[in-house]
Amino acid sequence: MKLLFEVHPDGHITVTVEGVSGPGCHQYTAEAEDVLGVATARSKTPEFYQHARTGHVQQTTEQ
Amino acid sequence: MSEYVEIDTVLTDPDHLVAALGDLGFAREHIEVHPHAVSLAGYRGDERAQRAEIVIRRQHVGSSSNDLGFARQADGTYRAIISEYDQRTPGVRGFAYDQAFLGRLAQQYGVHRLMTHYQAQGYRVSVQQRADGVMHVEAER
Repeated sequence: MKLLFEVHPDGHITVTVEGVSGPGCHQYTAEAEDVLGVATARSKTPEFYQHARTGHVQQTTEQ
Repeated sequence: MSEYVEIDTVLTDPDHLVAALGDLGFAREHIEVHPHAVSLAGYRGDERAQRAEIVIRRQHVGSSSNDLGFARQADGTYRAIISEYDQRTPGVRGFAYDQAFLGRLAQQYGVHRLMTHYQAQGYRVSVQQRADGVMHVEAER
């Protein structure tokens, strides 16, 4: 699995998790938040919804 | 891809804050790190009411500058203490200590935090700077 960080010149950081689908990836973004600071926005990418719809995982409610 | 999160960097780690100040051109020997807050001085050497744990003395900030400090707050974060003069006046590094400076500082801090944390967790970490100034950090395992 891979974590991709874009660290902007204003200190703002975006994190994308690759290679982990569904709510399982939340632990990785939560870890990044612990390391860096405060999350200001969160969204699910298509892979998350694909798994959620097909019933492999249950969608979590965190936002 | 499965989740995308945006994070505002918060300065909490003194070692990485010092490293980030070094990235912006401050010599390590000019960055004071105190276990307890010490007084900051104004441009005439006068002691100010503000106190901070991490201090860069005024002669290393600019020709008519005040001391620049980072004061640890009750919640564990560091708050920059920068005089109005130094926020609008380019100093010895050629830039003013304004919001853009604090942004670049947070950027360097974030890269140091990410590299140290994820390397310790067994990830392969790479860093690249793009032409637009954005730093790309990849952590893989």
